[in-house]
Amino acid sequence: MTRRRLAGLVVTGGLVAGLVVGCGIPDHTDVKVDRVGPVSGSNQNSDPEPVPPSRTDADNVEEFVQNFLTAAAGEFDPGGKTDQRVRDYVSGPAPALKNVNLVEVAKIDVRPNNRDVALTVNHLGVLDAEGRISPPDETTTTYQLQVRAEESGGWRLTKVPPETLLDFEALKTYYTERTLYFWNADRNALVPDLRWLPAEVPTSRVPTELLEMIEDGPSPWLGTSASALPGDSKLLANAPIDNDLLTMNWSPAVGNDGQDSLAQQVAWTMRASGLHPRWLQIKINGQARDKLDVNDLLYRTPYPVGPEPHPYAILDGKVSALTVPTGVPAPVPLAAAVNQKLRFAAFKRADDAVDAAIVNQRNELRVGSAGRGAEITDLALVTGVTPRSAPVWLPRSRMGLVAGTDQRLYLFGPDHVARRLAPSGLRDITAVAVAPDGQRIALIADGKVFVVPVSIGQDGVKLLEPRAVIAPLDSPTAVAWSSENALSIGGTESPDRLSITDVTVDSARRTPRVYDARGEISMIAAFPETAALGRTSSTVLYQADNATWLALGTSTQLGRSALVGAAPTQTPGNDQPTQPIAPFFVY
Amino acid sequence: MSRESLLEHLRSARARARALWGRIVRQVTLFLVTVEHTWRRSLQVRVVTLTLVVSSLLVAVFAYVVAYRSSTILLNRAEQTVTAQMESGRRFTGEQLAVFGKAYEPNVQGTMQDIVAYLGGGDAQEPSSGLVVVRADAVELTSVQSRAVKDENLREVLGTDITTAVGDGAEATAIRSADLGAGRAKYLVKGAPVRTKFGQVELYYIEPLTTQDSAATQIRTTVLATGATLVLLLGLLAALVTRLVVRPVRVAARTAQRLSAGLLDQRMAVTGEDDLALLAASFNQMAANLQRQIIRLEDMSRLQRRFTSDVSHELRTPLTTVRMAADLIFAERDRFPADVSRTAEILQTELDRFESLLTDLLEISRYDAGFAMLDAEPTDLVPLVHRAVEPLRGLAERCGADLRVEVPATPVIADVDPRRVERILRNLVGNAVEHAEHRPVDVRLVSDGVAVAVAVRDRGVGLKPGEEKLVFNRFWRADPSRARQTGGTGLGLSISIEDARLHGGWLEAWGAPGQGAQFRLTLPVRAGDRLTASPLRLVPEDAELPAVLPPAQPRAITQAPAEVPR
Repeated sequence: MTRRRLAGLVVTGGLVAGLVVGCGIPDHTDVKVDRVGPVSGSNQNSDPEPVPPSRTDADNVEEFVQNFLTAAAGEFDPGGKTDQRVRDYVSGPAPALKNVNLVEVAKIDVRPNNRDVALTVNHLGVLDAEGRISPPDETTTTYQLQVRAEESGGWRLTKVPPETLLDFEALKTYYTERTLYFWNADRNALVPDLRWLPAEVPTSRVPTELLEMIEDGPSPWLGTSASALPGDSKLLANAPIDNDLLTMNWSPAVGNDGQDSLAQQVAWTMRASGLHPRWLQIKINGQARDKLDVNDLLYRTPYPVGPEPHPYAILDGKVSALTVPTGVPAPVPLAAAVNQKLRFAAFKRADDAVDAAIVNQRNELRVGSAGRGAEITDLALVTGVTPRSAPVWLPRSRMGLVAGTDQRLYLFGPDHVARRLAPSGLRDITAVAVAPDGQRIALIADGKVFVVPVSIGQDGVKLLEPRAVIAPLDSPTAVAWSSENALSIGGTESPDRLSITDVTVDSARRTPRVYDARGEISMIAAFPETAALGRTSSTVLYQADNATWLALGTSTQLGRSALVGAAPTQTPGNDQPTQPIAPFFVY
Repeated sequence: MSRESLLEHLRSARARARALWGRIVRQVTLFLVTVEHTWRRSLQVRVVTLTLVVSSLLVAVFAYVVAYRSSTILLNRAEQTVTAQMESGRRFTGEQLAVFGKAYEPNVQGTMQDIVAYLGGGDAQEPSSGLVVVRADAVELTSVQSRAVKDENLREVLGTDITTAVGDGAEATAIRSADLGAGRAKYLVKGAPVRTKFGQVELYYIEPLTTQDSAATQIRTTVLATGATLVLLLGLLAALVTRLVVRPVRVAARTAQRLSAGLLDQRMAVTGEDDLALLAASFNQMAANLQRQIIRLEDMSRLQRRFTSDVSHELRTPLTTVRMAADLIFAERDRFPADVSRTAEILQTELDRFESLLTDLLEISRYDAGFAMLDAEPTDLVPLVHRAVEPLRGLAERCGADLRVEVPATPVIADVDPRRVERILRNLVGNAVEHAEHRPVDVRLVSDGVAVAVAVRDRGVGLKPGEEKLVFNRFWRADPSRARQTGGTGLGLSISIEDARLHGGWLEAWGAPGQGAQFRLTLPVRAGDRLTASPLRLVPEDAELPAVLPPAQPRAITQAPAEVPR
């Protein structure tokens, strides 16, 4: 009996102890394998990427210095690869890799001792981590360097410039041009903003990098013509493109109203960089919104460049449509009564009307308009200006710009009165060109080329701070926008050579277009490339030697036959040029 | 302090300790004995204890199942939540790191930090919140976590066992305890590999199980408290129910005790109509029947004794007359013819027998009526023995038996009634001589100062087993067909045992077939003293005994026989 009772007590005690200690959530368990996934090895991206030469790649001191001037090309990541590369070139502390001075190397003079080097450069701008190139702030043109031969091979710099220098030629190799789009102040037009992204950034990361640039706002030189995202909008995570879907996670500061315009802005930016996501999804703090069709976003964004350009030229004092080099000929919206004795003309297509501005042989500026499809029968005289070059229309407004014979810039509009505009610090304005977006203009003033952001608001047109474009040409005579970020500038390359060179607005890229112009280039007309809309090349016509030329590697003259309905020979009794002149595009 | 005094101290301390230990052992033993005694004695204690034990077992099993199940469910819930989080976290991490092609690209580390901050949620910096960790040892990146935790504490949670499993490409789960900022707590750790273009990184979710743990503890406490209350209530219930049943039984037991003590009018109270009421009623009925029977038997017995006494008295008067006539005839028998003379002799003998039978009957009826009085006085037993033996020597000679008497040389004084003691001895010796079968009869007197004993031994046919008590019955005969030689009345031993009892003494018999018999009379030396032992053994020393001696009837003799040295 006692034994059984004891056993019962023991069992009860054990159970109660087990209850108190045993059940409940344990302190520690063995590792339980839920699922065995595939062992993923390193899946390295094998795309070869251009890497600047390393310190030991040079065969002589000059090449070593040249290589040094490319070493800073890459991502400005403290302690990163670029930083390490620059430090490797230098014995001792290297200049900070924060803002890099973009230079055009004029001369590398290696002294006979193979130790001292005099480096002569021209400053083009300052490249920052956001890929912006701002106007140069350095004036030093000659740097004294010292190199030392290393026992392990190669050289090292023992005396370095106080700032980091980067040869602008290296940009072509190690960077890719990227265009960001920002909305203007009225949010009715996108303003392109040129950036440089290191080519080593893998494609998968490009969207994130571009969005981060958008987050940081437009380049300062664009001023108020381009507006940043509202408040402290922030990209919260990387933006991958997966299955044709670009997902981006923004902070709520973007705002509900701003999402659609942000989406359009991003769609344009992605497409301009050659990225083709079909869908775009904005998340706000991780909360997904609707998926948006990128094509839809692209085409419902107002952009003042139509899909089809219409080239025109003036022959025998009449505006006629050109059949070459691109686009389709369109009817001339001028009635025959007014389409005579003209020097220059410019048309502007709007949804419901056509505006025309002409300069006749009496050097009068006249403007007129008609409904779409109708001909303009009456051109009113614009008072207050005597034009010296072709007028240009500002998109999305009924106003235009023209340089006067007094070398001032004039704004004309529906009230038929020209008002003088005074871009700060610019004088002797001889040519003007309006960017396809209408938010920037290019001027030739005082023998130099400038780009000026324009703010078109309720109170008229306001010119912002101009930015000089450093072109490799002397005495530029004509300018046009060959792309959203580049100008075609005509001028003298050398005493015996008249050329047209395309220069980006930040002066960082120069592309010669023609170098065999027959005479002074008096005007340039361009149908700009717009990568975002799939147009990757531009068409440039210019006028020189009283003739129209197509600038395509070499110059090709457009004869009378290129015009629709032109008589094969000149009308007798007319002292005007016998070939088409003053070409322009309507788009 | 000298060595001796130290040793002395040690010794005394040891002695004190031993004394204390002894006291403890005694107390514990006493307690255990009390418990054991209570267990044996109390039905209520047994029922309550068994109820407590059984219900405790059942409640414990039930509580174990409930607590185990609830904690399993809580843990499963937590695991499901973390698994869902892990799925989305893994997808997110994969997407976020997919933009990088190489591990050394700038901002990989920053992205990892963003990932853990995002996955950690809004309250990631709360010390009590969980933790998201991204490790990228395989690609030589520093691991990041959603909030700052000491490395050694984190290592407790993310040990090599789980990181190795996850590093090998498995999704693994474990529970670990550590202090991750809000005191020591349990954490559910789940890790999964995430593939990227630059290699594998590991994503870990470390979720606190504090809520689940406290819920499990609460459930367990509640179940235990409920169980304990239930057990106590069951014990109380068992005690109450048992009390309801046991109390009437105890009353019945007490009533039965009183009844057996002679209080025949004791009855139980009958309340209600249940089984206990039936028991009480039956008990009362039984008691009434018993009382009635006992009174009837008492009446009958009294009537019988009175009848015997009355008959004896009534017979004495005519017997006296007959006796006077018979004496006259017997005195004048020489004058009658021989056959009449012979008849007169027979008449005389039978009248003697009749008279002594009547005397014995009267004596017995005195005992039965409770009128027997002890007339004790200090008496020397040695002459008393002789006085009792001598008259029987003639009979002994006639029977051919040698009658041997062994008495101490000094007087043996005891407070006895000499008439009654002499009657006992005469009776015993007469019986022995009668059954001596020509063999010697021994009479021994021994005293030890407290008690005095007389043993009478014969070596006749002896007694069969069981006859030692029957011999004291009235009119009992070993062989009913056997003729009486001595003319005994059949009441002698009955009267003798009553005489011995009247003295507070014992009269016992021993006998074995073929070995004869021995009768022993033991009397206290001082009247009123209680006997504890006899100076003489009941079984004679020359008796051949079986291997195992059955216990002789009076315990006192076998237990502590106070032998007289020879």
